[in-house]
Amino acid sequence: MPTGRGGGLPASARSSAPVAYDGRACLSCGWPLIADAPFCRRCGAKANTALVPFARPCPVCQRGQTPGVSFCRYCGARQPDAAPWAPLRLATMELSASPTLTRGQRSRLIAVGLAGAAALVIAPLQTLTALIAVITAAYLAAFVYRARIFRQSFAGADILTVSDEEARALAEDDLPIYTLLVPAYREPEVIPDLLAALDRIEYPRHLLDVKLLLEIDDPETLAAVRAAKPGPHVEIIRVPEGEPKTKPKACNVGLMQARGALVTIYDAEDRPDPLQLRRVVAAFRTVPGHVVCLQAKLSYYNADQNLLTRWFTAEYALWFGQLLPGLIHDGAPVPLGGTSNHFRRDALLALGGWDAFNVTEDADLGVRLHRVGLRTLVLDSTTYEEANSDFVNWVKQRSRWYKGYLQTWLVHMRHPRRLWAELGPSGFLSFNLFVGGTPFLALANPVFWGLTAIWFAAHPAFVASLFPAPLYYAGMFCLAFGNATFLYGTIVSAHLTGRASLVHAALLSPLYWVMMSIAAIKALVQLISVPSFWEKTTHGLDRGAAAFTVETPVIRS
Amino acid sequence: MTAVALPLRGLGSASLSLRLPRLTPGRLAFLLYLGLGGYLALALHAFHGDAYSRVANAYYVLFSRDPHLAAIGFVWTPLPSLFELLFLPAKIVWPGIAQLGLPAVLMSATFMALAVREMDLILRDFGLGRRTRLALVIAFAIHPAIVYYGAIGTSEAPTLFFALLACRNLARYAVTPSTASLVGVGFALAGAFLTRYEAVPAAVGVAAMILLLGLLRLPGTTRERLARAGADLIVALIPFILVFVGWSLASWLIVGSPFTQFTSDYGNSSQMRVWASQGANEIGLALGPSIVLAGLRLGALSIAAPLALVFAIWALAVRRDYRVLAIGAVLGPPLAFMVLAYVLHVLAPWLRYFISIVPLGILLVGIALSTPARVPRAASPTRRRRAAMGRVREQLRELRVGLGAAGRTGAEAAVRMTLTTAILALLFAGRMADRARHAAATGATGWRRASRRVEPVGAMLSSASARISGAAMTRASEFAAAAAAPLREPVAEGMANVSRTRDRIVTFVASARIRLAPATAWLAAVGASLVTVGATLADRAGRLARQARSVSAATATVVGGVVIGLRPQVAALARRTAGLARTVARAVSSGAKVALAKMPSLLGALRSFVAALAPRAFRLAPAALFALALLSVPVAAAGMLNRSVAVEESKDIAAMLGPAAAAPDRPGAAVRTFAGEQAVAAYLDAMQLPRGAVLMDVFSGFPIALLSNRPEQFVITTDRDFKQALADPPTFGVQYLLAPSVGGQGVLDAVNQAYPDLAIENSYATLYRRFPAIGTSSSWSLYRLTAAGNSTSR
Repeated sequence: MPTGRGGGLPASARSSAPVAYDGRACLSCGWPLIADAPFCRRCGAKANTALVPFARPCPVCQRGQTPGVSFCRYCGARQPDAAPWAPLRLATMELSASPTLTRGQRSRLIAVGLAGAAALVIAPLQTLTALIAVITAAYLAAFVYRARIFRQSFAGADILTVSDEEARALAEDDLPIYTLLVPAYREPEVIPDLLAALDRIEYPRHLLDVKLLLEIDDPETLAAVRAAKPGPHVEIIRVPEGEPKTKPKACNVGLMQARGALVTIYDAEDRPDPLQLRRVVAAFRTVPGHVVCLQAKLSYYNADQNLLTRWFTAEYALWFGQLLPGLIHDGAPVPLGGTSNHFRRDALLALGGWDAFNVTEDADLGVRLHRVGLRTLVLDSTTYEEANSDFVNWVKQRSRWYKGYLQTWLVHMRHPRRLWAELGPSGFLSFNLFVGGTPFLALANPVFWGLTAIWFAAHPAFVASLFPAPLYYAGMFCLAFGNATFLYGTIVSAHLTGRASLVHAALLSPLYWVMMSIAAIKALVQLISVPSFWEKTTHGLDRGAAAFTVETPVIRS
Repeated sequence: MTAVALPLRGLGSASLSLRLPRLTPGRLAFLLYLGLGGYLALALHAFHGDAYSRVANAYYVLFSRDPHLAAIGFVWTPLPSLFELLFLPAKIVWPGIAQLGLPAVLMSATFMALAVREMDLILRDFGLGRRTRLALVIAFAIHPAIVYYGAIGTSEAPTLFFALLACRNLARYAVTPSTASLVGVGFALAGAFLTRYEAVPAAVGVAAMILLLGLLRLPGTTRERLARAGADLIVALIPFILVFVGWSLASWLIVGSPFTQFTSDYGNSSQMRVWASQGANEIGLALGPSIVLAGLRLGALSIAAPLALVFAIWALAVRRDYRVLAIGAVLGPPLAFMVLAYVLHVLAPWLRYFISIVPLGILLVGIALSTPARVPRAASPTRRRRAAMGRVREQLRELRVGLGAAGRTGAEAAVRMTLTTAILALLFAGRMADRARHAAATGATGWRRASRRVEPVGAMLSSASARISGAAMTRASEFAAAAAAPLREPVAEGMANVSRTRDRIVTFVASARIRLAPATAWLAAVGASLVTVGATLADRAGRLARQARSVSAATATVVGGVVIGLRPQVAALARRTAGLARTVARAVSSGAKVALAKMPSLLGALRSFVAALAPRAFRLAPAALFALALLSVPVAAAGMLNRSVAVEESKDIAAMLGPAAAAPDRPGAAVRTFAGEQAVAAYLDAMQLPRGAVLMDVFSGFPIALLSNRPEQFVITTDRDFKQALADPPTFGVQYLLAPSVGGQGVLDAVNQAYPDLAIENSYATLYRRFPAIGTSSSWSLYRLTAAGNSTSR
C-alpha cells in the first residue's frame, strides 16, 4: 500500500538499490540494459551487444550529455555517476503486455470459464440471466458514469489554456531543449508534409531535437527524408531490427537518445499547432509538480471528406472536448491519445517509457503514470491528424485500439487489489468502465441489439425468461436512456466545435456504433491470435484515388 | 485510504454550514401552494378529478393486482404520474398519503414553485431592477390561476415550468447563441412533451424560430446559414424527438396504438363527444361568440397581455429584440392551438387551458421594462435627408424600368384591400344577421348564451372603462398632438422629394428623348398608358372605398341594431366600434388616394413617422404595462370567480369558499370529494373478497381503486390480462362486475361497452347491489356473475 505521495512512487521503487547502466539498449523493446545483464529485464529478450548510445541529462540544466562525461558541456556542472532516473525500478515485467495473460490470470480465466460452463450445464437459464444481469449492471454503470463525466465537463472543463501572446512572450532563455519523437514507417509520401509541418513550429531551431525514427527495413522513407534535406535539428535514428516491431519500441529507442527536458510524440501525418511547444512550456510552469504530461487536443484536418471522417471527428470532439477533461476533473486515470502528449522526460524515463508490446501504449502509459500518483492535463492546442476515410482501414485501426485497450485492461488487472489501492475506488471504477468497458460493451452491443430486435419482432418466451422484471426495466432504461444520452452527447459535443456538418453526421452516429462493434469483434479475435501485432493504418487517403495504390504495410504506424 | 485523494480538486465548497435556506420567491411560493393544496386535500377533502386520476395511475404501478411500470397508462403523458410515484412508497408509513391525493399536491406545488423560480431567473436575465423584478415575480406567483393550479395538483404546473425553462434558454440563445442554452431548450421541450401534448406546437414554434433567427442573423450564403441553423435545431429538438418517438413506440408496442390520447376510448376526443351529446360545455356555440369568449378569458387571465403584445411586436420590428420571438415561439403556439381547439370545440372551455397567457403577459411586460437589446438611433435631420435622397435615387431607377409599376401595384393593393374589407364586412354582417335571425327564431342559441356570459363582465368593464376613458381621452389628444408634430416635417419633405423626382424624370425623359427617340417614345407611350390605367384604378379604388364606407356604416348599423336588441352595453360598444370603423374607412379611402398620388414619398413618410413617433409613444408604454401586469392579479381574481369566464373553476372555488366550508359535490364539477366512490370501496373492502374478484374499468373507477384498502381485489384496465378477463371473467376468477351508470361518461366504461345488456335482463349476471349517486359520483352497480361458464358465450 503506497502511503506517501511525495515522491509519487511506490515504496518498493524507492527502496531498491541503484542500478548501473552501461549505455546499451535492448534491441527488442529499446529499453536500457543493466550492465552485464544477460536478459532485458523489461521484455525478457536476450541481451545483445549492439550499443545504442543514449544521453543522460545534466541535473542542473537538463541538457543531454554524452555518456561518460564528467562535466556538463553546456553549463559545466559536475555529472553524477548514475543517471537521475537510475534508482527507479519499475515492475516492468509485471506491467508489460507480453505475455498478454500471466500464468495466474490464465489459470483464473480457465477456472472462471470452467465454472461458467458447469453452471451453464446445471442451470442454463439462471446462469444466462446472471450473465445478463452482470452485463446490464456494467451498461448501467457505464451509462451513469459517462453521463456524469459529460455533465462535469459541461459544468467547468479542466482544460489548460495558454494564449498566443503568453506563448510568444516566453524568452529564448526560458525555453528548454524539446525532443520531438516522430516515428514513421513506409510512408515516404507524407515526409514533405511532415517536414513542412515541423518547420511551422515556432521554437528556436537550436533548442529543437527532432528524432525521426525509421526502421532498418524501410529505405524508401529514409530516401525521402534525405531527399527533403531537413535542417540540422532533425536527426534520423534507425530503429534496430527485432520483434516486436511497434511504434512504442521505436519511441523508446528515440527516448534513450533524447536531449530535451520535454519530450513529445508526433505521428508522421500530424499537423500540430505551431505554438503548441511554447504553450506546453508555459503551461508546465503553472501546473503542480505531479502533473508530468499534457495531452494536446487531437482533431482531423480532413473532417469533411466523407461521412466516416465526420463521425470520427465528432467522436474525437466528444473524447478530447468532454470526456478527457471530465475524467481529469474526476481524478480518474486518463488514457492518453496516440500523439501530441507532452512529457517531462525525467518522469517518462522514471515510468519506464512505453510498453513495446502494447498496441495502445499511450493509454497504458496514461494509466501507469496515474498509478504512481502522477497526473495528466488537457491543453487547449490542437494537432490535426488525418481521419480514416476508408471503412476497412478504419476497422483495422479501431480494432487495434480495442485490442490495445483490452491488453491494457488485462495488464493492469493482474493485481486488482493493488490497482484498487493505487487508483482509489473511483479511479478503479473509471479504469474498468473506460478502458475495459469500451471494448467489452462494444462487443456486447450486437448481442443486446439482437435480443431487443428478436423480442419486439416475435416476443419469444426464451427472451422473456432471460429478463426477470427488474432486469427488464434496467435493460429498457439502458436501451432508451443510454442510447439517447450517448447520441445526444455526441451531437452536443459536435455542436460545441461550431461545425454544422459534424452535427448533421452525429445524428447518424448509431450506424458508427455498429462499425465499432465490428471492430471490437475483430479486436477480440486478434487479441487471442496475434496480441502484439501492430496493424498499420494507411495514411494519405485524403490525397485522392492515387493514395489507394500505396502498398498496405502490415506492421506499425 | 490515501490513494482516493484527488489532487487537482479544491476543497472550497466542502465546509459545512447550518444557515437557514434563503427565502427566495420560489421557496415562498412552494410553501404557499403546498399549504393551500394541503388545506384543500386534508381539510376540505376536495380533489381535482384529473389530479386524482394521475395519482391513481402512479398507484397501480406499485399497488395493484398486477404491479408493473406500464400500468402508468398511455392515455396521458407520464411525467406527473412518474413524479408522484416517488412519494408513493411513503404509503408504508402513512397509508393515507395516496388516498388524500397528496402526491399530486406535492407535484404541482413543486413544479409551480420551480416555474416561479424560472420566472425570477428569466427576469434576472432581462436585467430588470430588483424591485421591478420582484414585483413582476410576485404578480406571477400570487396570480390566482397560478396559485390555484399550483395547489390543486393538475399538470398545469409542470407544463408552465417546462415552458418557462424553454423560454429562459431560448431567450438566452436569442441574445447570445450557445450550445448550453440549446441543450436547455432541448431538455425543457422533452420534459414538456412528457407532461402534455401541447409541447408539440411549442416544438414547432421553437424550430421555426431557430430557423428564422439563423436566416436573419448568421453570416454566409443561405445554404450555409440553413446548415448552421439546422445544427442548432438538432441540438434543441433531439431530446424532444427522442422522447416523442420513445413514448409513441412504447405506447405502440404495449397498447397497440402510438397516440392513445387521440385514438383511445378514454382520450380527450371521446370525452368531448360525450359532452357534445349532453350539450354541455358551450359545444353548440357558433364561431363568433366562441372567439369573443376565448378573448374574454384570455383578457381575464392577463389584461396586460394584449397591450404588451403590441409593444412586443414593435420591439421586435424596430429594436430587433429577438427575445420576443423566443418567448412567442415557446408560449404562443400552444396558446394559439388551445384557442383554436376551443373555438373548434375540440377542447372543453376551461380557463386552465389558457393559463400560459399569464407568464406570456408578464414576460412581455418584462421585455418592455428591460434595457433594450439594441437601442435605436434617433433619426437626425441629416440622416433622414440622406436616406430620403437614397430612396429617391432608388425610385428613379425603378421608374426607368417601368414608369407605372409602382403606381399600378399601389392601386392594385388599394383595390384589393378595399374589396377584401368590403367582402369581409359583408360576410360578417351577413353572418351576424343570420345569427340574429336564428337567435330571434329559436331564442336559445349561441349569442344569447354568449351575451349572458358577457353581461356581467361588460358591466364590470363599462364602469371601469368610464373611469379610464376620461383619462385616456386626455392622454390620447395629447398623444395625437405629439404624434402629429413630427409628422408634419417628413410629410412636407416627402412632398418636396416627389416634386424633385418629377422634375428629374421630366429632365431625364426630355434628354433621353433626344438621344433615344424611338425607344423613349415607346416607353413613354407605355408609361403614359400605365399612368392612365393607374389613374383609372385609383378612381375606381376611391369609388370602392366610398362604397365600402357606406357598407361598413350599414353593417355597423345592422350589427349595432342586432346588438341593441340584445344588450345595451354591447350596443354601446358596437356603436363605438362602428364609429371607429367609419373613421378607419374614411382614413383608408383618403389614404388610398394619397397613396396613389404620392406613392414614392409615402413609404419614406411612413418610416420617418414610425421613427419619430415610436420612441415617444412607447416611452410611456412600459410603465403602463407594468401597472397592467400588477392589475392583472385582482382582475384575474374577479375573472376566476366569474361564472361566464371560469366555467369550471368559478363553481369549484365558490363551493370551496362557501359557508359550508366543504366542497359539496355538484354534477359537472372538476373538484370532487369522491364520497360515492368512498362508499363503494368501503363496501367492497368489508366483503373481504379474494384477489381479482371484482372487475372494473378504472377510467371512471379510479377513485374506487385508490380508495380501497385492498387494491388486489380488483382486476383493472391496466392489468396485462384485463382484455382476456373482460372477455371471460369466470376463468380469471372474477366473481363481480362493477360498472357505473350508463349516463354521462359512463358509456365509455369498458364493462358497459362489453356487456351492454348488463343492467337489463341477462343470463350471466344479477344485480348484487346498487350504490346511489352522491354529488359528482355517478351511481355504481355491483353485479354478481351467475354460475361459471354461462358468460363465456361472447
